[in-house]
Amino acid sequence: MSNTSENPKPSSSSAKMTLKTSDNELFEVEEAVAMKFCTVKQYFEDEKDSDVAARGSTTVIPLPNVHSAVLATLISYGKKLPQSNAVADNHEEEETKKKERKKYEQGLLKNLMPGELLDLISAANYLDFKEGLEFFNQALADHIQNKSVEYVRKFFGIKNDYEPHEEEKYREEYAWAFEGVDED
Amino acid sequence: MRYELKGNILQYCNEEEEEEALANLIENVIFDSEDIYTHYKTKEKSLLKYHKDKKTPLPNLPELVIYNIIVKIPADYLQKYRYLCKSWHDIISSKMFIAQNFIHSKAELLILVKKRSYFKATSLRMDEKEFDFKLDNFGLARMGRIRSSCNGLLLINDPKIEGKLNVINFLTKCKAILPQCPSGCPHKTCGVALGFSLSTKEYKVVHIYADGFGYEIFTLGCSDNKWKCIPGPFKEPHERPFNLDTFHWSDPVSIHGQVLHWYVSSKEYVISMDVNDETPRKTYLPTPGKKIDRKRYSLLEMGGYLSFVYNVSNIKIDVWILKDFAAQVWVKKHSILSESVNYTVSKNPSLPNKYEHSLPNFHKLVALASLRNGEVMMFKHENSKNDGRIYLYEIKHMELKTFKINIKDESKVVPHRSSLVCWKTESDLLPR
Repeated sequence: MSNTSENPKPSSSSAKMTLKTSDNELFEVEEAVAMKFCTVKQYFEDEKDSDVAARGSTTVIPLPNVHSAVLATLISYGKKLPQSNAVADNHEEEETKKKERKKYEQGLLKNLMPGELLDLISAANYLDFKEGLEFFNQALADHIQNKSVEYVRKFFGIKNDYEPHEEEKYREEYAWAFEGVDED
Repeated sequence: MRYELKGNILQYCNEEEEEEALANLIENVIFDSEDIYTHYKTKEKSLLKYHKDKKTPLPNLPELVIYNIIVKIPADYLQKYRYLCKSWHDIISSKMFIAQNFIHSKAELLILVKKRSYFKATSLRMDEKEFDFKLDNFGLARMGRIRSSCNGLLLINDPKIEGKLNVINFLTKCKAILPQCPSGCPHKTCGVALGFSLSTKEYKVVHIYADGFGYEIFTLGCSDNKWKCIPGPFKEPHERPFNLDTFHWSDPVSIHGQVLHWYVSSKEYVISMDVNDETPRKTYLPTPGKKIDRKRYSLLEMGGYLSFVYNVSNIKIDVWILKDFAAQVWVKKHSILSESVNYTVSKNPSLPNKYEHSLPNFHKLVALASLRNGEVMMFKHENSKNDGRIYLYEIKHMELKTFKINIKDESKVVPHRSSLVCWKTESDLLPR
C-alpha cells in the first residue's frame, strides 16, 4: 500500500497536506488535489483561521470514515482531473488530455468490483468530492441499470418491505419493464 | 465543519445546460430549511426525521447516496425499481427526482411511418462515440400520429377516433384525453404542439387550424376542461404570406416546449409563440444578402435554439441559429460546402453501388432534425426515388454519411426524451 504520492516534478506550488485514514495510514497529497475534497478544504480553511502558525504539510487531517485503499483510488482519480490552477492548454493538447483521461477511466473501471464502487461512492460523499461522485455514481448506475430487482436489493442490502401480493400486483402492471433483464 | 448553502437545487447539477432543463421541469419547490441539500450530514438528519415520521424502514445506505446513483439510470430501466422497496418508490415518484432524472435522459428521434390507418414509430439514437446510430421499436404496434413531445410526454392523434388528441407517457402508461377543439378540427392538416409554461408550470396544447378562427389553447388539468381561443397572428386576409387555397398549417418546431415556431410559407418571417405569454408574433428571418426562396428552407430545433437551414445552392447550405429570441438576433452557425465535406456511405448491402461516390445535390437536401445537442444534422433527399435514404452531417468534422432506414418521403421526425412524469388524474400535472 503506497503511503506517499509520487511527485518527481517540482511544481510551482507544491504545498502538501497529510491525510490520515481510518486504518491509520498517512497520505501526503498535493494541496491542489486535496482541495478537490471539499470536506478537507473546509477543515483546512477552518484550521488556517484558528491557528496562524500551522500551514501545509505540518497539518494532519484525520479522515476516520475513509479506508486507505479507497482514499488511494480517489486521490489517483483526483490527480487525473484538470487542475484549476493549470495553464490553459491549446485545443489539441486539451483533446489528447481528454483521450488519456478516458483511457485511464476505462482502465480504472475494468479493475473495480461493483462492491468497491459503493465504498468509493460513500467515501467520495463523505469527502464531498464532486467530480469523483459524478464519475463513480455514473459508473454504478451504468452497472446496475439492467440488473434484476433482486440483484439490486442484495447489492445495496435493502430489505423488501412490500407484501407479496402487493409486489405481484406491481409486477403484473409493469411486466414489460421486467423483460430483457441481464442475468445476475 | 461549516455548513454551506449551495442554492436550492442539488449541488451536483452544475452545468449550464443541465440547469436549464431542470428549470424546465422542476416544480415551484420552496425548500423548508430542514430540506435544503447542503452537507451530507444535514440531509441525512432530515431523512432520518422523514423516515421516522413516515414509519418506513431506512435502507442501509443513506438515501442521498442512493438518490445520486439511481438518478443517472435512464427512465426506461428505472421503472422496474419503483417497487424494490417503499423508500425507492417514494424517491422515484417524487417530482424532484423525475426532474433531475430527465436531465440525464438521452435524446432520440421518433420516426413515424404511416401504415394504412395507423402509424408505426421507430426510435433513432445516436451512438455516443461512433458516427452511427441504433434503431429500436417505439411505443405500440399501432399508434396514432405523434404530433409533439415535451418533457417525455407525447401529443398523439387518437388512432381510432378522428379529431381526438391524447397526451401519453408510454413509459409510465399515463394518458390524458383532450376534449374536442371548438373549431371541430379533425387534426389531419393543422399545426399543434405540446408545451410547458415555465412561469405557470402548466402543460399547454397549442393548436391552429384555420387562423381566421384563431389559436386554441388547452391547459392540461384545467378545472373547466375547455379550450381557450385567442386571436390568430393575421388580422386582414391580405396580411397572410401564403395562398389560402393551398396552404395548411403544420406542426411547429418546439424549442424545449417553451417557444413554438410555425412555417408560414413566407420569405421574410415565421410565426412564433412563447408558451408563457401565449402571444403570437413574427420572427424575421436572417437576410443573407440575397432574397430568400421560401421553398428552400427548413426550420428545426438545434441545441436549444431555432435553426434556419437554407439551401443556398446545389453546393452550399447555410445554417443559422436564433441566438436571442426576444431581440431577434441570428448567428450563422455553419455553412455546409460540398467542396469541404468528407462524404462516406454506410456499409449497407441494400444501397446500390452507383451511390458510392456521388455527393447529393444540396438543393434537394431537406433538413429534418438535429442530434447530439446540435452537433449533428439529419437530412432527407427531396426526390422520393431516394426513399429510405437519410444523410447525417457532423458539423465539427464536416462529415457527411448516408444511411438507409425505414423512412418514407412524408415521414415525420419528432425529437423526444423519455421521462417518468406520471399522473393519476390530470390535475396532478398542475403545480401544487
